[in-house]
Amino acid sequence: MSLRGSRRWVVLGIATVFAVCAFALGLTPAGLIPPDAEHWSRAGKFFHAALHPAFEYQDANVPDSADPILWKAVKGLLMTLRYAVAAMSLAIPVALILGFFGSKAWWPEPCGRKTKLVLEVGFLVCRFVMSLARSIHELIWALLILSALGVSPLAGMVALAIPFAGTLGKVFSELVDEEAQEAAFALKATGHGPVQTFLLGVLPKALPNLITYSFYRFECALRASAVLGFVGIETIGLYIQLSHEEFYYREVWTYFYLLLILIVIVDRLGAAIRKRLQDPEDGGGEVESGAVFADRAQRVENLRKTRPRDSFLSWVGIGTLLSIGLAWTTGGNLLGRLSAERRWTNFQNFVAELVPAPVRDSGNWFDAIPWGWDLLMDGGGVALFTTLGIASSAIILSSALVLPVLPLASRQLARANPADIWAGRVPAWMKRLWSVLGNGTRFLFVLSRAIPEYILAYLLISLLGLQVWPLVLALAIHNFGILGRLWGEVVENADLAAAEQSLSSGAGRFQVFGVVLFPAIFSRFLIYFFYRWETCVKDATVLGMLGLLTLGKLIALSKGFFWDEMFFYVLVAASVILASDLFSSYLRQWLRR
Amino acid sequence: MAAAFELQNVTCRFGELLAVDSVSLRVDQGEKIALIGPSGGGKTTLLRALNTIRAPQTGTVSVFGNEVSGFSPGQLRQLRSRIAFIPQNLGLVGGLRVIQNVILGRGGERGTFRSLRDILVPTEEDRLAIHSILERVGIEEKLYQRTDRLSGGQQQRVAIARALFQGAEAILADEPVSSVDPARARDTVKLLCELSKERKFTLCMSLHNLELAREYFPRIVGLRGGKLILDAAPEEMGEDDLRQLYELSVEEMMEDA
Repeated sequence: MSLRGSRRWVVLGIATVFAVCAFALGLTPAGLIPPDAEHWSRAGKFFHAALHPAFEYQDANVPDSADPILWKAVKGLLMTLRYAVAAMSLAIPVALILGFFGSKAWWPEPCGRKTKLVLEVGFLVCRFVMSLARSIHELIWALLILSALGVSPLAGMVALAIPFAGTLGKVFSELVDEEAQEAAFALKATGHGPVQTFLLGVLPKALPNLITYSFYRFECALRASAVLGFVGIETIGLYIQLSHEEFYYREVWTYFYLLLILIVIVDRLGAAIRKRLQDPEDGGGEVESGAVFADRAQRVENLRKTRPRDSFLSWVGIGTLLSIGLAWTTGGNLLGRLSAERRWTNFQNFVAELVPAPVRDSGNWFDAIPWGWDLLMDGGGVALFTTLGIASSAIILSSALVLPVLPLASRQLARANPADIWAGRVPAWMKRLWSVLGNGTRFLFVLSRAIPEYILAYLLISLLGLQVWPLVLALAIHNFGILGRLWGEVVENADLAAAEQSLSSGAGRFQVFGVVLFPAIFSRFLIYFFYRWETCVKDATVLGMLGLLTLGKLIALSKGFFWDEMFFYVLVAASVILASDLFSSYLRQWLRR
Repeated sequence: MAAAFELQNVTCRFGELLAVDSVSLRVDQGEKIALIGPSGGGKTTLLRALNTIRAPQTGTVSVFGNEVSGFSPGQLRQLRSRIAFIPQNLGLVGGLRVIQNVILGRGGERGTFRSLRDILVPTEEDRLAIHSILERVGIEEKLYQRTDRLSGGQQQRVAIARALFQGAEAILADEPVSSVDPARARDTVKLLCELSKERKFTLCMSLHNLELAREYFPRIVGLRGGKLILDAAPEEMGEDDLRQLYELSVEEMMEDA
């Protein structure tokens, strides 16, 4: 079936899903304003504080000997960076190995039956490990690992690294499978072995995309690292939480603004790197045309010396290595205070308590079935549906917010002469207005995707009360920025021939976007829509840890008391995420056809 | 004269489709042949069979006097390192510099670790050899440029330089000039033919452009529907041969409609 005739049904279907979710979750407009006078005054103070971030502690009891607040904030940011950098430096090599064995592109062509069996087993194991690793949210990995091993920086880094290795590995194997086949074929044809072809042909070809994607994941790791503050790791998130609990809103905003600035800088740096990798600048020295060298060696040396080099990328490389070195060597003891023996007994107790309670008593694993069924019935099922409902309504809401502003983000449409078609004499202020609108919209996307959804939801709950809206809003705002960027790229890469045709026959920008461009790129939009939906399900699971009845809340409640029940809910959450992952990748594959 | 390639009754099948249908062909060492025929006629599959990367369902393939059906993967790789293959998209690694792409030509012979080292730190000997090859194909100034920054014609020259550096005894080229303008296409074909004479390698090239095939190749082989239906010198080729090769049959026209 083609989408051509069914676009309107898809849109209608999505709208219906939103209506059903909104009804089931009780999403009413009334929920968007603070519920009572106390919350109203809190909201007033909170937004007033937004305009007056603190440059000194609001808490009068802070001793004079303490660091000034800005220095404390910078240290918190450096710790946030440290966890993100260290986690990525663990995740990338693991992901490369998993991605290599999780890809079939490099397999030798005439392949013996035994080799093939070994490769096939390795392939399935890698795929399974990657799926499992990324089906459990980093915050839950952190809960599990910190509970098992005790709080230590290394445990936090490993907790971040595991799900990131899973996601990176999956994308690496896809990149390798998809786009590196041309060069690989030419190498195989001239007698290169499989591993050699991978190292010399496939890897260099896929490298720019690998680097770009890794940098994007680093930005995500930064947000995740800030959120780790909420489970007791000393990153900026911890400071936000502590100041918020004491109602020092101005301090909260100081930390929050600085975190946003850091993430926006990293985002812009990533964009610059991507631009340089895709479209390198013809830097390099001038070839000395006057100098004629008789000797071939001298001529080669001259060419080598004047070869184009991108000093920006070299500096990024040096900076990366330097920060990895610093992340592992500075900022305090990696292993924390507990002794190794203590950790080992901790770990053994933890593992023992993961076994379901009835099984611990009877030793019979069949007793786990009624136990698990009761858990599912007793809140588990409701939590599951709440999770899915929050995720779906959030992604639909943010799609509805992105669509109307998307034409403004397009570099082709949002200017005085759209798609280079002369629009007549346009006053200078109008030209400036278009450029302000375009840059403003794009920056709005950057800003909203920089906000960690968990921290935003935490803050919104204190203003709107404990209900579903804060979670939906937080997810919708974060995804507003991400969808804006992904969809914006689709618009940017779309074939503009038809759009130019209608612009030159008198159509307006928004008209062209709605009637010509949107139908043409609808299925690509849907691909990203489902991809983000899948991510939302994963995030909605943990947002419940803030106190709403989603799986995350059940996980947080049973933590520390009933490890077996917590583990059960973790597995339920993982399978929901895995199922939505499969569902969404199936849909996306179908849309690509 | 010894044979570089010898196919006997070779048939290659993709499921139902007969890509190459009982073709027998002998190409002598140092010989130049052009493969012509309509799209989907089997040219690419035939070239792949000559390169031994496509094993035929029936028939035998001999390369440099070796019948290859019993070869181990190692032996095959060693054999392939003596044959250069220039695919239609050239198969260059865009992000690497020209010198690195050319070094890849000898990867099959040198093995993983050595070629990895060579690509990172080229030896003095390689640098000089590659510079002189690039000089021969006319782009020595581009030695250290990024390959994806070159024009289409220059990239073709990089692919040729890679084949020359490989020191291949035969070069198989699969429509290497289909993506550049006529003048550049002529230049490239001419260059490859001159080089074949100069360095005495066998050259098999598939071409869409009949005129180029006639002008530069002493022997032309025509394929249609997987069958070899023409094998002649250009001056022996008549209008009838071409009609047989290219003209749409009634059934095909019906299918297109």
